[in-house]
Formats: sequence, C-alpha cells, structure tokens
Amino acid sequence: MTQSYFHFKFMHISMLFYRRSVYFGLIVTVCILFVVWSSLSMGVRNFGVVDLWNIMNGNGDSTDQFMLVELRVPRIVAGLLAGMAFGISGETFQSLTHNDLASPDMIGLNAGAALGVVAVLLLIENPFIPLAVGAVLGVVVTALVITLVSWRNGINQTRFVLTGIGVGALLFAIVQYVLLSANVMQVAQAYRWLIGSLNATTACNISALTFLVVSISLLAFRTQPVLALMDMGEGVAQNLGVHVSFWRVLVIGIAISATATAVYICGPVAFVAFASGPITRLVIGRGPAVFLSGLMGAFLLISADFVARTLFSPIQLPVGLITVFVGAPFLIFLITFQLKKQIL
Amino acid sequence: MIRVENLQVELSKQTVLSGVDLEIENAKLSMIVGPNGCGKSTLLRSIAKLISSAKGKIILDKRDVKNIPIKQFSKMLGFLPQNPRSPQGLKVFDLVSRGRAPHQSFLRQWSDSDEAAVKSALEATAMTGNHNRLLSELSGGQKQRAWIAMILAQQTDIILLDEPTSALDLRYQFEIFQLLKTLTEDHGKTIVTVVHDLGIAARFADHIVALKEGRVVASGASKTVLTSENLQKIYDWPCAVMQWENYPLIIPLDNLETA
Repeated sequence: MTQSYFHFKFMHISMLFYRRSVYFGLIVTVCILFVVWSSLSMGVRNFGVVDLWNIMNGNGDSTDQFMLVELRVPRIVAGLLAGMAFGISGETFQSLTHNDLASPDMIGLNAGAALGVVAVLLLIENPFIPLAVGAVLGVVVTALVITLVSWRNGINQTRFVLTGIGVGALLFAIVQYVLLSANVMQVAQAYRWLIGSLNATTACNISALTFLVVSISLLAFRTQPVLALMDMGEGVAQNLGVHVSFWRVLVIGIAISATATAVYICGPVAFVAFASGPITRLVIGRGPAVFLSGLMGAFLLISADFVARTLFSPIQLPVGLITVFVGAPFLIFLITFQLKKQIL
Repeated sequence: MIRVENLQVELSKQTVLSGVDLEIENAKLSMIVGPNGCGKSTLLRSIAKLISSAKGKIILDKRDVKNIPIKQFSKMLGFLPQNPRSPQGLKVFDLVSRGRAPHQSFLRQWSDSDEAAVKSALEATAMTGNHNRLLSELSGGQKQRAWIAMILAQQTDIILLDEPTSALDLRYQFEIFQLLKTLTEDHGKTIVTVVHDLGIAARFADHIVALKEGRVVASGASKTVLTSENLQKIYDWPCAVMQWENYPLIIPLDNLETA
C-alpha cells in the first residue's frame, strides 16, 4: 500500500518519503546547480569550465580571481540562502493559515523587516546595533500588531490577511517618509537594498548566515509531518497526539526567523516567499511542503538574480525588480484560477 | 467507562454547558441528541480534551483526563469533528495512515504494525479497494468512511464522532451506523456520537443522552428517553411515539399552541 512512497529503513529508523516529492526535490536541485554554474561563468567576463576550475583552484589571474571568489560566489550563496529562507517562511505561513495570500511579503512582514533595517540604518546610526536586530524586531513587532488588530475571539484568516496587507502598505509609507527625511548619501544605499538586491553581500557574514539558514531548514524539515497533521484542523491534529499550542509557537518562530534572515540578506524582495509554496504544491499535488518550497525559493531567487545581473550587463538590475515582473502575473494567475476554491 | 462530573463550559462569555453529569459505558454505542445549540458538540469536544476552559471533571479509566499527556491520550481516545478539513491531493491510504500518528515518531514513521492497522481499518470500512483513490474523487459516504477508517487506524478503545452522517443519504447513514454498531459489538469499542436524526438514535443507540440548554434532560435506553413527554421537553414540540418491532418510532405532530 505504500507504493507511492520510498521507504527508508536503517537500524531503528524508518521513514516514508512521497515519491513525487523526492523526484521534485532532485529536479529542483539539478536546476539550482545549473543556474549556479551559469551564474559563475557568465557576466561581465565569461569563463569556460576549464577556466572556472583553474580559478577556483587559485591558478588564474588576480582580477578573475577577485571577480569570481569575492563577487560572484558570495552573491550566489547569499541568493541561495535568502531564497531558501523566503520559500520556507512563505510556505509555513501559507500552510498554517490555509491561505496562499498569507505569505510574509503579502501581509506586511517584509515591510516590517524593511522598516526595522531602515530605522537602524538611517535613524539610529549606531554602528554597534547590527541591521539584523532591526530586521528581526521589525518582523516580530509587525506580526504582533497584525495579530492584535485582527484578533476577535481568535484569528480569522481573511481578517488576518487583509489587516496584514493594510499594515504592510502603511509600513512602506513610513519607510518612504524615513527615506525622505534622511541624508542623501545614505538614502542611495538604503534604497537599493529596499528594492531588493544581492549586490551588497560580502563574504564576511556568509558563514553565520549559512549556519542560520541550514538550522532553519532542518527545523522546517522536522516540522513537516506536524504541519501535515495540523493541515486537517487543530482539533484533529491534537487528537492525533500533536501538542498544537507548542508547535504553533515553534512553527511561527521558524517562519519569523526565516523572513527576517531573508530580508536582512537581500532586502524585502517580493513574490519569492509568495510563489514558492504554490508552485511546489502545484507540481507535487499536495502540501504542505516546507522544505521543498525552500529549495524552490532558492531556485527562483538565484534565477532572478542571474537574469538581473546579465540581462543588461554591465548594468545590474536589482533582483527585486525581476521578481516583481515575474511574480505579479503569477499572483494574478493564482487569484483567478486557484484561490477561487478558498475563502479569499 | 467515561464519567463526566459537573462539567461547565463558557465560550465567548456565554454558558454552553452548565453542570453536566453523565456516565458512558464501555463497548456501547451512545448517542447525544438535543436541539441546535444545546451544547452537544461542546460536550463531545470537552471529553476529547479540546476545550481548555472546561471546568469540572472528566474521568476516563479512573483517571482525570487533565492529567493524561496528549500523546498518551491520543492512544486512548479518537475524535472526529463534524466536516473535518480534507487537505488537497491526499489519497485514502494517506489519510488513514495519518491515524497512526500517535504510535509513530519522526524517526519511526512506518512499521509492520502501522501497515497491519491501516489494512484492517480499510477492511472494516470496506475501503480496501479505494485505498489508492484521491479523497476529492470519493462520494460523500465513501469520504466519511475514509475518515472513520482513519480513526480506526488510531486503534483507540474510545471513539467520539460529531455528526458522522450529516448530509448523507439514508443508505449511507445506515451503512455507517451499522458499521459503528458492529464495532461496539464485535470489537468492544466504546463509541459516542452526536446525532440529529432521532430515527437513527432510536434504531441504533444503546444509550441516549438528551441535552437542552447545556443540561442533561434525560439519559438511558432509547425506549426510556424517547417518550412523547421527553421530546416535548427537549424540542418544545409535540410528538407521538409508537412502537415498531422493538424500536420507538417518532412522529412529529402539528403544534396546536403555535397554530
């Protein structure tokens, strides 16, 4: 009866993996590797496979070395990390609320993180307060505000989403106001980050971010079966032995940290968090698929960044511009064809 | 045996249950009846530990349910809400195997006992042939049987069902209650259901609990509970009760007071 699953057995460990999910994961991984390879080799300078190999091993001229190791590699890694985090945060919120519109970029959490970062950057101007603190605080406070405003004997998901959209718009307005009142030199930096860009990534904080995103991904992988049970309603889940209130807090914590991490890395890039989950579920036919949505997010973001970097080379577009151009039509498609079945 | 002592529930500042006492016997099919909004579902959910604000005592096998950890409780009692949410893209097998969750852990997701439990749950509900079909392509009766199979795969001694046959045709209703009856008689399950249809209650219940405005009005065998005086009290509507074979047969009358 378990023919649509791979049954993994090792000592006392016994796990089931849905076959289509495994195939999907493998295909997306191959696509990611392909985009990574293209991003490494193409740009202002193009490298062949042999060149790449030589430069990576330290046998190239110093300009090439710098371009590849100091510019392209950190940027690709940052794209993978931010995309993974966006995908995980989006799918987690979407499955928790049973609503595809409830992704962090739609309900104002990205805007909250953006305001937090901009506030630290332009208003506080204290070099000892890291931007990440602003991002995390921004997301947490925004999530709390949305929850409080939409709370009426519990959370109604439609009210939650609509409140989030309103709060997000308000927060972006505040961001604009902060930008207008700040000094011009800093505004340029902040503005580029606000559209969403991977240009600014440096190698120095990559290892910490990698550790963070890998932890988030492992946790997301662990919450997968629990989310599947909670998808049938919290009453059913609790009756099947899920400690619902504990897991709800944990899962929201994961989603919030993922959002904050992603926005910290590349700015409030829209539509990656929103689109990863629905695309993944459309292909494998079921949800929730948090880990796979993370892979999908990584693929989407580095593909968008590759296009942004090479389309009008040497001019580099911000990646956020590309995701909006591709993501907005997808939103319209989803609203017209998919969301009919849901409440909103 | 389930014993409920002085159960009181307030939801959004409104009293839903005000001091319910009742006893439910093992290996019997018990049914909770009463008018809309009388607290039937709330009573069932309270027994399933799903209402945290419930006051009073619910005792299961001599233990207060408050002191039973969630995971352990999930191996003792299975609960199916009215119209549970069926996730997209699930097949019958997937749904039924989720009933095994209390017996599994993250690193032990599937064993021979899981396989055996799912198999026998599918057989008991006559769903074996449908195990590879999507939930979304099943008829109402089949879908309900799939959910009941999930609860059976949970292998609990007690099963609570909130209106398991609402919106089902007569034939499917009968099939499901016949199944529940066999489960109590042949497998020793203790089953409690909320039902609307008094015909079903009269025909299948070993024990009926009648609620009105959050209180137990009558409780006992169907013949003692379903009398015309009780029905007038419970539903504020006159009914004649006749006898067909060994079952009470209820005929709602014209209400002369409102006419």
